[in-house]
Amino acid sequence: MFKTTGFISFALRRFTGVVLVLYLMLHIWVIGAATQGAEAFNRRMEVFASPATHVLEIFLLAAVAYHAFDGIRLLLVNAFRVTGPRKSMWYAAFAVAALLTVIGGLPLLLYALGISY
Amino acid sequence: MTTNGHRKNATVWIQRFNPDFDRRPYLQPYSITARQGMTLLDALHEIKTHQDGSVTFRRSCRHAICGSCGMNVNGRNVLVCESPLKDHLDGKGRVTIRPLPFLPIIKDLVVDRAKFWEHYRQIKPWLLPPDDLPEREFRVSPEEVKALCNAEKCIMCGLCYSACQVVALNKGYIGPHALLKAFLRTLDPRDSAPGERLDIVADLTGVWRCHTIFNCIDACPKSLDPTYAIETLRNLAARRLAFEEERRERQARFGEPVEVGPPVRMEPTARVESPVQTGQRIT
Amino acid sequence: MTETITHDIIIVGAGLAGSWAAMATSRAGVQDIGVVSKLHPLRSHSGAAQGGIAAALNNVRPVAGTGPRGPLEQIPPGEEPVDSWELHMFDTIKGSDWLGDQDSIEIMVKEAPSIIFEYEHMGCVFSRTPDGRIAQRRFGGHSAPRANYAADYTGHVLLHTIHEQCLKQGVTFYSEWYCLELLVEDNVCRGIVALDILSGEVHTMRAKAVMFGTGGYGRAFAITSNAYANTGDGVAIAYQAGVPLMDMEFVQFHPTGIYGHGILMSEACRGEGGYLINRDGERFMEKYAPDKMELAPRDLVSRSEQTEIDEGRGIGDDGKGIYLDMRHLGREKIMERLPQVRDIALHFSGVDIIDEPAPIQPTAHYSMGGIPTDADGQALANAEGDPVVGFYAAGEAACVSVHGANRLGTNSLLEASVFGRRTGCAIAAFVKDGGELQPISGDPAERNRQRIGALMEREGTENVEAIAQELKATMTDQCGIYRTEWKLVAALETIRSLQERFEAAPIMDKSSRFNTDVLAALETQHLLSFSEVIAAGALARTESRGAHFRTDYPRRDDQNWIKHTLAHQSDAGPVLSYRDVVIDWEKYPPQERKY
Repeated sequence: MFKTTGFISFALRRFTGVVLVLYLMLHIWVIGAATQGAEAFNRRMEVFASPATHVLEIFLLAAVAYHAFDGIRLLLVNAFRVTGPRKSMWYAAFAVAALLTVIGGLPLLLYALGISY
Repeated sequence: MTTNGHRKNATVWIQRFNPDFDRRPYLQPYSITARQGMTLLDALHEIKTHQDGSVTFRRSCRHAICGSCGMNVNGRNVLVCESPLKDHLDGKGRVTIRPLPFLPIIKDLVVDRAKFWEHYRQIKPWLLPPDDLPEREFRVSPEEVKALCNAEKCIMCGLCYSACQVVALNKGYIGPHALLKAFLRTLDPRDSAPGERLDIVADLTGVWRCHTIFNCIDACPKSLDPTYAIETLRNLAARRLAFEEERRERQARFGEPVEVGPPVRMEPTARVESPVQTGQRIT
Repeated sequence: MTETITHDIIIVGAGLAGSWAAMATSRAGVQDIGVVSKLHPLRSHSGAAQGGIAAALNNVRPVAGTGPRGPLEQIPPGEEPVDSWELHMFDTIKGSDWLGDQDSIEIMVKEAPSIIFEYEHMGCVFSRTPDGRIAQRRFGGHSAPRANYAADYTGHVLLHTIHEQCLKQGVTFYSEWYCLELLVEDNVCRGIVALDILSGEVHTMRAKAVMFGTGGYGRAFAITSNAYANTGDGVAIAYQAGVPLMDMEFVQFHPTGIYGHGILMSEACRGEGGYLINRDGERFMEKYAPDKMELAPRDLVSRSEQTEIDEGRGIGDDGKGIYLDMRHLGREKIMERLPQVRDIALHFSGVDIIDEPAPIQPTAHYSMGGIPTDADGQALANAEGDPVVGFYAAGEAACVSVHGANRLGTNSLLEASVFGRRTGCAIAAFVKDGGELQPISGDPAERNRQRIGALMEREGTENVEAIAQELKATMTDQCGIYRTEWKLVAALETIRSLQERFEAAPIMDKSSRFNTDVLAALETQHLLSFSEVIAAGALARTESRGAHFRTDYPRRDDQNWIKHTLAHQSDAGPVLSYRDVVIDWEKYPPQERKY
């Protein structure tokens, strides 16, 4: 029951959705410092200047990419009532999201490791 | 060791549970000789009649039309009457049979389907015909019958309901079986209350609760497509008034034959293998 | 102690007959109905019917000049009809080998179109002609295409439709309750005793009228198309309550059950043009029914197959099979008209009928016999036709008799629907005219509780299932398609000895909750009970008619045997008496039955 692509897609969708909500709250807290002036803003941003954060941002990218493309897949299913190629559509969405994560995540990783390119 | 049907011994693990005596369910192994052509139901009968008469399960027709014998075999919901034993044995000749998941267990492999039937009744499975009935049959074209996507084949076996993660998490969800039935009735041109039906299902416990997990399609022994039905109902709910108008127009034309002309030979038309054609409109 | 449950009407059996009766009664204004069924209503065996339901709707005709196996076309408006109720009636009478009561047959065929239209108005999804009318096809024994069908799962759609209507009417269902006893005293029915399978509790259920729609008894045979549930409980229980059984010896063997399993491959296979082939590759029906060939009635085709098998021209490991070849129909036609049949062949014999012929064999299919009733479902107490007041029956459990010695395909769905509806109306009238709840003597629930208790505590070395298997083997070999005196005498002896041995068969499951072991034992007891009636009736009937064939009396004997067999229970076994058949000697006198 729990090994179907349908369940995995659902579980990942939920998980990334929760991650994105939490990130959003964090993001608002960080950016919100701007209301207290440039110095307060810079200080808050300093907290997230470490290499560890950049690595976490790769995971954030993965979450955004997966959630977005899985979402597009669902929009297609809903609008065109497509159920036949359901597994291939999910593999395609997952593949696109993975590709984007790699493409976008690689520079982030290099930056985190301090390697210039 | 082979699994090509010539295996002699098979071990069938059956989940046992009698709420009157047992604290919790447990798996019990039974050893049988796997005969040629034996189904899982045959294996269960073999065990019940010769080894342990207390093994309890539902069954009747044994050719997948009554819907009684749904069980969870090696993690998948199947009808045991049409499942060959040899196809479900692993490399060591074992198979595990459990009752349908997420439903209360009455005893061993028998589950309580009260909620399942309640949801079925809730969507009003009976047709609501127009007030003036014709003398003979309503004229319904073969295309309109095809648009029902074989939903009338549903045997209410419950494999889809019990495979659905949403049903597992949310007992209020009316379930793919009920929504498939609602689809059948809503799309039937003879039904005169599609708006009323859409009201019932376009609800947080209805079509909007489905998370498009597709387990229902994978589980269905009749190759039906509850997800397609649910997506269709969602689309119709979104344009409900237009659909009601279309239905009224269709019913105004009931007096006319569907096709006028010289006698048409009833050659078989190509059967639609998958019910889904991208962009298919419903008339 | 459990409460006595009371309703105006109790119906046992929730298939087509029982559900129609419930719906008709409810529509007539009597709302206090309880329907008791040992399975959930949608699991009833009515749903397994495949081919179609007969009515002379005149939607379809053969294309001119294409012969008896050619294509069909819809009849344009205004043109000549090809079918009529008179033709349907004659086909049914001939199919019954002149044992059917012709007045009841007339009622059934006349009400046929109205019942189809009622189903359709209730939302039944039929297959359609191009101009939107209900599609019809040819069927064995019918001289015009009058089988109205829904692909090849007609019974399934009819059952679901009528069940939905009962839900709409608010009928109360006692689902998974097993009827243990029928309470009849002084020829007046007072109610039943039922077991709630889930809890194991026994209840007395009182009613002003009781109706049985409990189905047939094919499970008395080893190879059968019938579900596990078809153990003839209603028939056996009525017999034990003193109600006679009629024409039990007439058991129809359907020609095309899957080889080795008996699962039904619809007659529609032959209706759509399939061929029966023996080991030598010949279409042997040419020898037995040169005119109709594979579309001869079922008893004839089954006997033809059995003859081929007995003479060594069968197929399969034990030579007891025959090939059903549908390859020439083509993929499109099979996928559209016979999808379920293809699935069945794939699952149970591994054969794709598009590419290979399917192995089949004759299978015990329909029980023409049952509880004798008049055309309104009123059960009869004796050959004179006195009623069992307050007791009714319809469907396969009843014997009206419209099928006589042999049933035509698609007439069973029709019978169950028409007589279910009529019985419902008759029961409603009975209750409205002042039918009263009758007193019951003693405590039937307690009596049955003790009976079950005694069953559970039994000791011995026999095995319930082994006894059932032996009974089935005996019935199939000695009381099957071809019967003869010494075999039937031996069968009766075996049955009686099995009845004794059954007393020493213990029950393994000792819990009261959902005890299917006790159910199996009760069902086996019922099988043993009515099997004796079948064998006794067959032994006494020294002629061959319809599905009953005696190799020692191979001719039909109209001088002595145009009569229905009635059997009453007694300590010495079934006591037989005979009832006249209603025949219109001028319009439909007995003729030779050739196809």
